Formats: sequence, structure tokens, C-alpha cells
Amino acid sequence: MRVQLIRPRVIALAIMAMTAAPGGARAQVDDPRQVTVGLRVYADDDRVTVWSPSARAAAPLPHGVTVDVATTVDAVTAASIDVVSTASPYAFTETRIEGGVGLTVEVRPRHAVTARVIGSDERDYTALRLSAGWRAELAARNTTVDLTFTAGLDTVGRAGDPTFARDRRELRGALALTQITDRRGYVDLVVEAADQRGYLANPYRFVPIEMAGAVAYTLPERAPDQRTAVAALVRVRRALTDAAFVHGDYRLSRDTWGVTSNTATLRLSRAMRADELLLGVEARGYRQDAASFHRAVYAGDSGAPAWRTSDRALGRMASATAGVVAESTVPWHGLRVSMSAAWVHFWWLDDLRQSDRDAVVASLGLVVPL
Amino acid sequence: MKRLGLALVLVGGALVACARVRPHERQILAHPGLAQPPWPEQHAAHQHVYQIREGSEGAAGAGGGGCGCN
Repeated sequence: MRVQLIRPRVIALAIMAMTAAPGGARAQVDDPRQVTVGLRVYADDDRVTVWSPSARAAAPLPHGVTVDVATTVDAVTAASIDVVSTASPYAFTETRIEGGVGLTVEVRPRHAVTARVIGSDERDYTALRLSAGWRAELAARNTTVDLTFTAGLDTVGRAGDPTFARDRRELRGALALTQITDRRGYVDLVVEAADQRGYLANPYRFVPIEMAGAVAYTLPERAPDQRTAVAALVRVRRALTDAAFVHGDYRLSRDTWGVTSNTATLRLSRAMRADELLLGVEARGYRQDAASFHRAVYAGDSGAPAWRTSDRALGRMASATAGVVAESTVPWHGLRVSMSAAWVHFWWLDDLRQSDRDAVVASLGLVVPL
Repeated sequence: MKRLGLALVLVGGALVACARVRPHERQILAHPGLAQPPWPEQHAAHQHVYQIREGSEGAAGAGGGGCGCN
């Protein structure tokens, strides 16, 4: 099973990240003139490795306009159990390229509108995202409201089959509210809804059909042609002391496929050396219920089911993350360097071929103010 | 979902009741340790992994208004 790198949610994430904090890192004082270069690495014990260099630049223009451009490349090398046992007898490499440009315009004091286009391409998937947003600072700048709408236009292909092309569409809306609670903290509330339509299955994935106690044959995966999801997150950010900080958040998500998930994250950080160094630790826990039509194996006695998937990401699963981060301001033109490393463990409670997986995620970032 | 909606209404109402903090009182709020996300590159790297490996999504990359200090 080849790995389709680009999932529409990945681009949605990129949109949300860039929209929430123009210029990237330090939204507290909005100076957008900076260049950010980064490198992310993912490696797991299923022999999947992804190297992702990225770059982003933002600069102000006249009349309250800020423009930003960004690009990311995902270079994947995979010899996972899914790849080797089905479609390919050997490991494969694949590259995905993503690029985007955005505009932020301050239409009046403390009110800004944004527009963004992000596209990505890999051998068997192309995606386009168009988004528009509005940000306002209200109540003497104690309250910030972000409203974003995104439309997605994707084409799902299949490697080695140039005649295979399926459309996938997405509409997404998100409302984020940030409130200063007192001199030492914030509360964030985020609600997001997404509606996906079209071809929502994976063309490389097959489901086993069991008869008389043994797998008799396999069928292509089939998913409903619509999926609607709603997620809500509550976050508390607080300064415990002048140099110690805590972030805690909880997210609940549900969709029409029956996938319900709960996510909790805790981050602690401490500033040192007159705020030139920021050290932090993070822990995250996640669990989800299975999609209503997910089965590890299907009984074929009553015929092929209309909707069928054995995708472990749609089954009962959980994950745990533990990581460390260090960020330092270098006394050379205000350069900021950040490094992180995290261990992630996945549990797939219904999957027949793989019950768990260990992964390491590392990142390196450089922010150069202009 | 009804409980979720009620919870959102209660949280929203509580937020409105928060005290107003004047600009000259926001030194701590402007600290990078309270920025959201606190470490953008690390946050992006992790969210990329979760989006691929997990079955649900949404509300993970947004939020994080600033302190309005400038």
C-alpha cells in the first residue's frame, strides 16, 4: 500500500497555523518581517522516514498590507509492512511539494482580513486550498476573534494508473476566541467544522473478506462520499511565575463516520538567562473510537458490505507523546534557534497486522528578523 | 453534542466576565512563553504527524491571539 502523503487536513493545518500568527513565531508583538527556515524529521520503527525542509518569509507592504510566502517539501522513504506486503516488494521514495502565499490587510485599527492560497503536488495527489479570514481585537484588546473559511479542491490519483482521477472537495470554518483573563494568562476557545465530499477512500487500500474462518479474498476500500466533523478545543495559558509557564488544552472531536476522539496536551516551559533561553517539555494523550463501518476483517457470508475500511487510522486507537524543546535567541541580529525532539507511541487496538508503533519526531528552526 | 454546545456557551460566558487588563499591565502576557503555539516549528512537526496517523482532526492549529501590547 503506497502512502498517500497529502491529506487535506495537513493543508488545513498549514492554513490555520499561518493565519493565527502572521510571521510565525512570536505573535505577542506582531513584527512580520522575518524569514523562517526549518527542518522536520519523522522516523518510526516501521521503516518510514520523512525529511521535511521548509521556508517562510513575511514582509510588510504599504497601506497596512503584509505578504507571506511559504514552501515545504516532504521526502518520504517507506518500507513499512503496508508497503512491502501489498503493492510494492521493496521500499519506495516519494516527494510532496507544498507552496503558499498569503496576504493580510489591516482594514481598520485592530481589524485585519486575510486571504491565502496553498497548493501541493505529489505523484498521486494534488490539492488546492483557498482561505479567507478576519481577525479583530476587541474590548480594549483584551479579546481576539479569528474567523476563517477554507475551500479545498483535491484530485486523488493512483500511481501507475494515469486514468484514475477522483475529486475530493472540502469546506471548513473555524472560530477562535482568545481572552486575556488577568495579568498572567489567557483562555482560548476554538471551534472548527469541516465537510468533505467526493472520493474519501484510499485507492491503495484493500479490506480482507473472511469466509469459513479464513481470509478468502480482498476488496477495494469504499467510504461514504461525505464526512462532516466538528471539533472544539479549550486551552489555558498561564504564567506560573515571571519565568515559568504552562499551557493546557483539551479537544473533543466527532464526525458523521462515528469517529469520536479526545485529546489532552500539557506544556511546561521555563525562561532562563534573562529570557534568552526557553526550555520546555510537552506531553500529549489521544484516544479515538472507530468509524462505524471499520472492521479489521469483514465476514463475507452475507455479501460485500457497501462501506468497508480496515484503515488502522479509522479504528480504535490511542497515542502518547513526550517531548522536549529548547529555543534560544542568539546575539546576532536577533536570530532565534529552536530545537525539539519527541517520542510518539501509537496503539491500534483493532489492527491485525500492527498493534503499535514507535516514532521519533524532531525539528530544527531558525528565525531571522529582517 | 448538546453537552458540548452547553459547555461552549458556559465557557464563552465566563470569558466575557474576565477583568480588563490595561496595556501597561501586560508585561508577562507579552512573554514568548505564553505565545501560541509556544514553539511553532515543533508544533507544526507534531501536528503533521497526528494529521496523518490519527483519524480525527480540527481545532488543533488555531487560536492564540496576542496580548495587544503594541
